[in-house]
Formats: sequence, structure tokens, C-alpha cells
Amino acid sequence: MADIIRIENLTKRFGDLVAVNNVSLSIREGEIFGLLGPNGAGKTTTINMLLTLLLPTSGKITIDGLDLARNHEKVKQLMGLMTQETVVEAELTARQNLELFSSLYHVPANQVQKRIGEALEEADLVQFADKKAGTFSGGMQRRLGLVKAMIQEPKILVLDEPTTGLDVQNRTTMWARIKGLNKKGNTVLLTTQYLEEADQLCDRIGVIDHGKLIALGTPSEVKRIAGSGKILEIVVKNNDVARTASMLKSKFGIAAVVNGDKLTAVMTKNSESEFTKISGALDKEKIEVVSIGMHLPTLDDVFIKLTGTGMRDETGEMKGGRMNIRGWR
Amino acid sequence: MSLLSDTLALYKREMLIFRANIRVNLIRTAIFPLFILLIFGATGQGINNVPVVVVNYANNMQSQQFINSLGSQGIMSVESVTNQNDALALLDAGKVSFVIVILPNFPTYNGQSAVRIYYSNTQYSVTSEILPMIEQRAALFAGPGNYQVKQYLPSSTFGAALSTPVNGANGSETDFIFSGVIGMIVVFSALFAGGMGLITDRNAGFIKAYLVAPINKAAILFGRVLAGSVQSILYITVVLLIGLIFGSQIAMGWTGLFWIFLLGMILMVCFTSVSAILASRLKNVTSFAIFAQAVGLPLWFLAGGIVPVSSLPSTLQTLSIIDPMTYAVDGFRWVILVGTYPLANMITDISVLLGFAIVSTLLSVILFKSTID
Ligand SMILES: Nc1ncnc2c1ncn2[C@@H]1O[C@H](COP(=O)(O)OP(=O)(O)OP(=O)(O)O)[C@@H](O)[C@H]1O
Ligand SMILES: [Mg+2]
Repeated sequence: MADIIRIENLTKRFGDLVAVNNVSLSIREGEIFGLLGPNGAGKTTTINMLLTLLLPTSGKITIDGLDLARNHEKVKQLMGLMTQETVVEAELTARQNLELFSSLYHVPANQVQKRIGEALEEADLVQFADKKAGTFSGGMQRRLGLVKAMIQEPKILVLDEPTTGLDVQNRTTMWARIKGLNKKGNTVLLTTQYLEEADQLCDRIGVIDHGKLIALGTPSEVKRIAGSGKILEIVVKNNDVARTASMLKSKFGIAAVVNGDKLTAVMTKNSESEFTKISGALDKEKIEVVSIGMHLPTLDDVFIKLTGTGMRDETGEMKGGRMNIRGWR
Repeated sequence: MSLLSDTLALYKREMLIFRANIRVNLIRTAIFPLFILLIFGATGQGINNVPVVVVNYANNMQSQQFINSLGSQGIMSVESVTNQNDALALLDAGKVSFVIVILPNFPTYNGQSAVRIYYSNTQYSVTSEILPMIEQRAALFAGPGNYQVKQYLPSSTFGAALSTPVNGANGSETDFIFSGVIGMIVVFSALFAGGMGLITDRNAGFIKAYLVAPINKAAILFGRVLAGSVQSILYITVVLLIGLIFGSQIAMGWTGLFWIFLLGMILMVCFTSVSAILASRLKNVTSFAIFAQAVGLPLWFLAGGIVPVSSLPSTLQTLSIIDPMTYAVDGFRWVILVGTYPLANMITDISVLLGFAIVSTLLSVILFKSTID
């Protein structure tokens, strides 16, 4: 497959802050590519540069064979965007939203009504066509936002955090819609903070943190970074954390990453028997164990491996285990 | 290329939002004129202390008696000046309403009248009340027909705009305030419709969505400016209706409406662009609102919205000259209070406003383009 977007040594500085730091990656035609990273990682900044909203400090972007720096207008026609913030105009009806963007993308007049009809159907909003978008639920707004981004029939669909703030059910249907659009031949570039989303939806992912691309590949390739062994997770009473860590180190040679009251480690030797031994040792040392378990590597483990911490929220604090990673905005 | 169609698309969007909030917009527009007219419209009902200067070249007993009789009822406040040019300069600046020149031959007629009464056509409402009173006294002391009444035309056009018709008589205080309120409503609507919307739309990510589309960036501003000037028609209508309820009339009649709407729409364009300029520098709605208030009200006072410009301290009058609202209010006053719109004023007002509108719009486009990288 050919590369439809090629990013070479892309850097964006805001004063002293390097929001995107020397990122190089390619997105192939027809794939779903996910840019995964915590708040403030540089996802939106990267996308804004692809969409001509920001000028790169340095680096080169090529889209569909066109040098972006010299082909703003042509490239804009190729891309449809669903923004991270408000995705639809609340005061306008669903139909008026679509009409506005048909005009802005210069959709030929004789095709406008046909496309709007199809879009409303696609979004399951036919009976709400003339209701104000502000009265819609979050899920309905995203559905409208998605077809709105598609109104000019772009080759590339750019979705900035398409499911942030949606409940589980709406998120699952949004995934199905995105997959559906992708099947029709659209290349999809999306950003997400959800490891699970990147894992399930994307053909390939790029993991970005502090503006740096720290991993790139298919979800299983990226997960392999965490190692081939299983991941051990132990949660203990807070005052036992240090004792547990030193015990794991001295008795089993395991260097655990401490994350609050949770210890995470990659098991190298035969995991099943090692696990039993560790359980026994914890018991003997009278360490109060809240929970103990083992699982196959996930993207969160990649994060822990690569950054030494779990996914951070906005303040840079650590979030808990992978089960907690959802729904913070 | 696509500038026109893009502008129209975004204009349509603005109007849809405007229509969705029409009730709030109308109430907001109505509250201010209602209160201003209730509070200030009722003051100044009686006529008193109309400023009059006398140049007494006769300096005899009869002329002194004539002067005393003018000031006797407290309706006129009479001052003396030694020469005619100084007196007319005061009239020119709108500082006084009448100049009475008593010639040396007073009270006899020697081929020319003994008294000349000058009034400025900017003092319309006072003129109708006071002039007959002065004429009656002149007839009494100099003899019937032994006086001349002359209309004095202001000399400079800038001066003309500044010495906007002055209030002072029965009920016309309402007319005076009401014509100033039109300017205020237009400017405040423009400040809020233009910049406020721009900031909220930017924060909501709408502007970003437009910029991603292959449109001419200037259309984002032009659509707003166009919508603003169309909306101003409605705002002005509301103020006119309220004025009507308070008993105001447009002295010029239906043609006056044309001028009011024309001036109002250009004024709206000026301040929509000014607010877009503010918005490109200010990042949040709160600081914008504070700033807009801080700019809007002083400009209104400087424009003579509530006190005639000619009554302002002379340092402030210099500022009035660069306040575009001054020229719109000038037009409103002529049309509403006087009933004629002298060509000199018309040309000054319209050209200053148009010039300001063009410059501010261009500036807002340049600043807008530069703030989005
Ligand atoms: N215009 C700007 N000026 C200054 N700093 C900026 C600007 N835009 C972004 N940043 C900073 O750049 C960094 C990356 O921001 P970006 O919005 O790209 O993150 P993100 O990955 O999209 O995060 P989120 O999940 O919160 O949307 C952040 O630290 C942010 O504060
Ligand atoms: Mg973002």
C-alpha cells in the first residue's frame, strides 16, 4: 500500500515548549491509523499541522504526493475533520449543519441535497434532521459530526479523539461506523487516549508522549515492546509497597515499576510456577495483598515500559491501572 | 473567487444563530433605550438659561433696557461680548444659542435695522421657542420691523459635526437623547455580535472547522460584518419604535429613515470590525466583555450621545473628532431634530464613516489572518 501521508522530522515549538519533537511516520492509504497518547502529548498539534492550521517549526509533510507547504488548498479538499471540541453547531439543525459545510467545501449545488440525504441516513438522524443539534445527545452529535466531516467525500478522515466523553455503548457503535467508512476506502487518522480503542480499531498505531514518537507499528507489534512474558500486577497496602519491591528484587530478581500502591513487572521465567512462588513469598512476608494477577501485555504495559509510568491525566498525575483508563476529558 | 459564496455561507450561519436567539436580542436592544429615555427623557422640560450673547455697539440707556428685559425671566442667560466676531465664534462652536448685535443707531432706523439676531441652525429646538420671544422684545424696544433675523451657518465641516444640534426646549430632550441612543445600540450590538461571537466560536472550535475548509479566510469576518449590518436594521427599528412611544418624531419624515438606517448600517460595519480587532487580541470572553464596555460607553459620551459635543471640555472634543460614532450621531440629530441634513454635514458624516469602515475592516482581516498563523 502506498503512503498517503508522510511526515518527516516534524517539529513544532511553542516558545520553549516542544509540543511535537522530530516525529517521522507514514500513514498508508486505506488504513486506520491511531495516534495514541495522554493529554498534552502533542496529538492535536500534529493534526493541526496536517490540516494547515499550524505551520510546522521544521519538517516536511507530504499528503497524497503533494508537498503540504505549497498545496494548502488542494490538500484541504482531501481531508475531512471532526474536531476534538464541539463537533456540531448547537444553534443549527442537523440539516443546516450539513448545508453549511457543503457550502464551505464547495460541494456542487446539484449534489448538495442528495449528499445531505445520504449523510442523514448514514448517521441515523433522518427523523431529527430539522431539530437543533444542541438538543442531541453526545452520541448523536458525534454521528452528525462524523458525516459532516465526510460531506465533501474526502480521501482522508481525520478524527481528533472521536470517542472521548462517550459512554461504552456509543463508543462501540462509533467504532463500527469508523470501520464502516474505512471499508468504503477512506483512510482514517484518529487520535485517542484510550489504549483499548487503539488496540481494537486501528491497523497501526503511533504512541506519542511529550511530543516524541515512542513506538510505531501494529497493535500486536507495539505490545511486543512490553516483552514476551506475561505481566504481573500486585496491589498491596500502601505501607507495604517498598517492602514488596525490595523483596521481588532480592528473591526473584524482578525490577517492578511502582505506580501508587501498584507494582507491575514483566515475568521472564516460566510465569506460572514463578507466580505461585511469588504468592507464597508474599504470604510468608505477611504483606497485605489487595490483589494479585497476571495478564498478557497490553498497550498500557507498553506505556509503563516506555515511560516508566501509566497514562497521565492533564496535571501529569498518574492514572491507575488499565481498567481505569477511560472517560477523563 | 470563492470569497463571495463563502461569505454568504457564513452570513447565513450567523443569521440562523441570530434568529435562534431573536427574543434575547430584542429584549437586550429594548432595555437600554427604555431606561435611558425614562431616566433622561423626562429632565429639562422647562426652558431656562438658554445661552445668549449680546454685542452692544449702541451702549445707551435704551439698549441697556432691552438687554435687561431679555434676561428678566431667567429663560435666557445673557452675557456681553465686545465684538461681533467673538460672538459669532461662540455660536459657531455651539457654545451659545443666539447672538444679538445692537447697532450704534439703536433704537432708531437709519436705512439699516438697529438689531441683528443671529441663530445657528444647529439649535433647532431652542430656536422655535426662543426666537419669537427675542423678536417680540426687539419690536418693543426698537420698533416693529427695525430688526433683522439671520441664520448663521457653521464654518468648518468638522465643527459642524461637533456642534451637532443642541437640546434645550420642551420635550426635545427626549428627541435629543433618543437620537443618541440609536448610535449606542448599534455600537454595543456590533461590539458584542462581532467580537464576542468570534471568541466563543474560536473557543468552541468552530473557527478551526471553517479554516480547515478550502475557503477564503476573510469570509469568516466578512460573513459576520454582513450579518451585523443586516441585524442593525432590526436594532434600529426597535429603538425607533421606543422613541415613538416616548413621543419622539423624526423631523425629516420618511426620508429621514433612509439616512438613519444608512448611517446606522455603516456604523455597525465600523464597530463590528473594531470588535473583531479586539477579539483577535483578547483570548477570553470575560476580558473582551470588560474591554467592550470600557470602549463603548466613553465613545458614546464623546460622540455627544447624551451631552452635546460642544458642551464637552475642549480636550475631549479633540477625541470626539476621531470617534466615528460622532458622525453618525450628528446625522441622526439633523434628521430627527432639525429635519434637514445640510450637504456639508452629510458629506462629512458619510465619508468619515465609510473611510473608517473600510480601514477597520481591512485591519481586522489582516490581524485575523496573522493571529491564526
Ligand atoms: N497554541 C499553543 N500555544 C502554546 N502551547 C500550546 C499550543 N497548543 C498546544 N500547546 C501545548 O502543546 C502541548 C501539546 O498539546 P496538544 O493539544 O497537541 O496535546 P494533545 O495530545 O492533543 O492533548 P489532549 O488529549 O489534551 O487533546 C501541550 O502542552 C499544550 O499545552
Ligand atoms: Mg488534543
